[in-house]
Amino acid sequence: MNQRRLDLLIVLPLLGILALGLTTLSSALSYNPQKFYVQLVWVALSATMFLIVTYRSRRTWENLAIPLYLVSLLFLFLVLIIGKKVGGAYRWLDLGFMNFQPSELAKVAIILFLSYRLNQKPTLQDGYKLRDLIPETVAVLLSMMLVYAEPDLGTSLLIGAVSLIIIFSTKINRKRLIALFLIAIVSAPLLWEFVLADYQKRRVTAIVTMMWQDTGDESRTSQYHTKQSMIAVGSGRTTGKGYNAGTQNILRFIPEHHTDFIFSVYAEEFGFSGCMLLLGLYLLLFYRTLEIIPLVRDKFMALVVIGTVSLLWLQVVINIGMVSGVLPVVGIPLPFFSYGGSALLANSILMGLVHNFSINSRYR
Amino acid sequence: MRILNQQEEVRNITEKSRLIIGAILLTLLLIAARLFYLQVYRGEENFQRSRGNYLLREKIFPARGDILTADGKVMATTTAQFRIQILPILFTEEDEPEESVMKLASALSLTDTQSTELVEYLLSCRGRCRHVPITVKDEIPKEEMLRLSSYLTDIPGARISSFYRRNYPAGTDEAHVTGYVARVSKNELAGYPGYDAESFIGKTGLEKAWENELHGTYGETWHVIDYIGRRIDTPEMLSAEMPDPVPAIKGTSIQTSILSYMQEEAAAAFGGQTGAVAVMNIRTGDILALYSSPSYDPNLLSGKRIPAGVWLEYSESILQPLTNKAVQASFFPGSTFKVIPALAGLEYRVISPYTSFLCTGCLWFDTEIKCCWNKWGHNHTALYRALKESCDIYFYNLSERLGHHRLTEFSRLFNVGRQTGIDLAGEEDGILPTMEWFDFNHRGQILNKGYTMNLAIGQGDIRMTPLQIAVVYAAIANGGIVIRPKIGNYLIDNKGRRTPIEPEVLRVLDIKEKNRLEVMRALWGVTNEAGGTAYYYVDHTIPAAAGKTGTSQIISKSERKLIDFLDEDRRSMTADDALFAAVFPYKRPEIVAVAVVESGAHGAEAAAPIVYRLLKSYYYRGRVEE
Repeated sequence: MNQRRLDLLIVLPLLGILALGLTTLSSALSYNPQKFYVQLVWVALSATMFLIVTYRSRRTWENLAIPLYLVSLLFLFLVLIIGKKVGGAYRWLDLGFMNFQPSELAKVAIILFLSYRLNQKPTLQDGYKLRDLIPETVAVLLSMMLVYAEPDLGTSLLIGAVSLIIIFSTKINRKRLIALFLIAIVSAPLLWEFVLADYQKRRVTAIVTMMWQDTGDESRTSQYHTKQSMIAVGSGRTTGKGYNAGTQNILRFIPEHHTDFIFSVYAEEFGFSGCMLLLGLYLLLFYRTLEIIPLVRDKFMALVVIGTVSLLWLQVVINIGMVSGVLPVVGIPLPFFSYGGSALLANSILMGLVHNFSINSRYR
Repeated sequence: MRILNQQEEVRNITEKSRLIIGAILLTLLLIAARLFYLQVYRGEENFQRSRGNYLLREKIFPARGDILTADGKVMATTTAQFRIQILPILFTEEDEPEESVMKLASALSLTDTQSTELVEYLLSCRGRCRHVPITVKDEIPKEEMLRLSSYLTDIPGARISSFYRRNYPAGTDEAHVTGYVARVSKNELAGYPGYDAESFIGKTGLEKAWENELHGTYGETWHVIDYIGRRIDTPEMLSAEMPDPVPAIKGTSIQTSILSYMQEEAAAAFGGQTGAVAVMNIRTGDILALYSSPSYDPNLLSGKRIPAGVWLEYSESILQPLTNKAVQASFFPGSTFKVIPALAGLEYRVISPYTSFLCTGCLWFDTEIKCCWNKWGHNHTALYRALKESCDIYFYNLSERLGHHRLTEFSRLFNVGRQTGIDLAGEEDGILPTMEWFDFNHRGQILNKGYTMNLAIGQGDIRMTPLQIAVVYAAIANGGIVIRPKIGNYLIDNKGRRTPIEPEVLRVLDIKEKNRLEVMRALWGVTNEAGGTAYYYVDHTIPAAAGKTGTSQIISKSERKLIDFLDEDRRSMTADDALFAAVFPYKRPEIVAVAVVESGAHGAEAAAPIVYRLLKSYYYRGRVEE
């Protein structure tokens, strides 16, 4: 048995973020306390999961990597067929007693899958050739396409980005790398032209025009959302309007103010100082997590840590970026903060794993 | 090729993770910078924008200032009335409004058509519409509101709001003095940019002339609204800073110079006749009574909705009840005009009081013939008898000596052909046919002697409003001061402070007292000496008044014959207008009264009794203490 059962520098920031998130949620959901209680149930569930994962052998997860990936694909298929339509997209599976978001499971699955596969695949001195990575690439693309079909471009790209970070964290042949970049540059305009849906293009252009010129057609909803969110964030000023006193929040000028736009509620009620506190907690969490890498024994652990941190970090940046009007509005929640059980559970599993590695490598 | 072992792999990944830490730091810094920009650098601006989101300003309408008579009676005032609105979203379910409407209808005793309309409206009302309140009952007086309010507590989404309704207690009697108010029109709104589109504005009379004073100042109150514009009734739960409400300030009240009993007398004196009368103080220009017949009920026109048929009835009637005939209609002054050529003759020394002309009934000149109203003629006539018996031939001769230019110039001094400047809206100019006017309106014609002769007896192209005649007689009675008539006497602000409205002299004429008294004496003869045109129609129980009758032909005699023959109705409409102007009392003049009775035939018979009723009322009730 280990002497230390908890890595406090991971658990405390996590609890801090969670506490701030729940506080904000209780304010945002003051008109509908029942929803808040549902979230509390999810928190309890996730905490349990976090502890289970922490004290399970990592072997369990290595063995689960492939089945989990397959299950996630199955769910992603299912959601397209029998999914619940919310806001024009099929993102939820109605399990009767709760709603479940398969794309969240996909995030966990792809991190475990890639880490497991790359661990199994020995690296040559020059690094991987692209040819070596074809099965992994196919697996990632399959997952991305299914998520994209919901449609959920944000999560799809997020999965792609995290996968790229994981792959590039291993050693890759330089020449192949250059070729890959060229392909990316060429495919970008093609992507814009043929893959992006109109509403997605609108959102991107909305942000661009918003950033470069102050006058814009406010009647467009995406611009209206961004504008109201920016007003909410800015109107918090240095110290905020106080708990449960954000007018943009209470009077519901902020759209989706308990899910994707929860940060604007927080920023409005707790101001710039509150925001710095939250960013500090995230930074502490990420730094402490990445610190594990030199201590771990194998590639699987290191890649899981990389994947987890980059997933959480990208979500934080994209979410706050879109709330504060510098990035287009894509449905990316703020980890451990936004309302939503599946995301919380998925993130908790990943953090539980990282916590597991941390305890086992630091205090063994 | 060599394969990396786990230690090397981990070392490699560690290197990469340093890059990731760098990227994390960089992006989080960028985000912090963005937040700093939004929350600190532009925080105040964004804070104000968030306030702009939820604060909704509501205007509070001010009560209009009152209008009072000189003896303290209320001419126009406002009373609070109520309106009941419902908010569809709170009132009923979207699909079955019938039951809720039934309940409402029984509580408010709505008619069946009203309920049906309401049901249809609610059925078609979707989305945003359901957040917009609709009025279900309007113009509810206070007493009824007290009764209804107990029923309303059971009705969800019902809201009561109040507004002011204008009332005119004297009804038709004072309508042409006060005028009336109505919902402001789009054109008027351009002239009063501060006004709310729902507000009421003076349309005629004092209400229009004193609009700026009477209207009052809007107040404001603030409401908190949510993202779809719903009013939040418990804003104190938010720490939202609310601007202080500003109360509305009631408009300035106006005390007029109108004497209520004289106004009543004027209305009663007219009976069914058409015409107008004005009574004015000769020194201050204060109007004591001003009535135009037929009148209208301003109460009917000042509501939110004018009752069906009323507007049509008023605006289409040939008797023109909406026109204030004392100032908005001009007439031939007829013989009442003769005082001007008489005085002009004396002033220009073309005649003396003893200059006489022979009246044989008709006068031949050039190729024309002009006759006196008295076919038997007045024989040799000097000024005194010329005015007293109203000899036309005398004034034809006089006009020949005066000439057109001197006559019109002298008339102009008395403000003939120009607005008097009374504080009533829509005053007429009248017409003074000067040379320029003649040239412009009768192009190519030559102004001959006959034209001037006609002018001298108040016929031809000259037109005067009754009030303009009153100003002329006031100037003759008061020693040559042409005064601006006025109705407003005091402005009374909310704290009861009174500001007098000073009388205004338009012109002081340099008239020889001797000449003026000569004319006044002759006017005394008109009413007080046998043979005077008004002698038999005068009430001799009160001190003597000086007066002048006037009978003006509206159409020529040949036309009259044609109409007599053809058209029964128009015969009465085209009969002569009767005029009478009087200065009272003769010995120490205080007031002037002028009456016009349309189609009243002879001036003395129709108009003099009306004037005398007013003089009598003035004499017996006396001046009010001020």
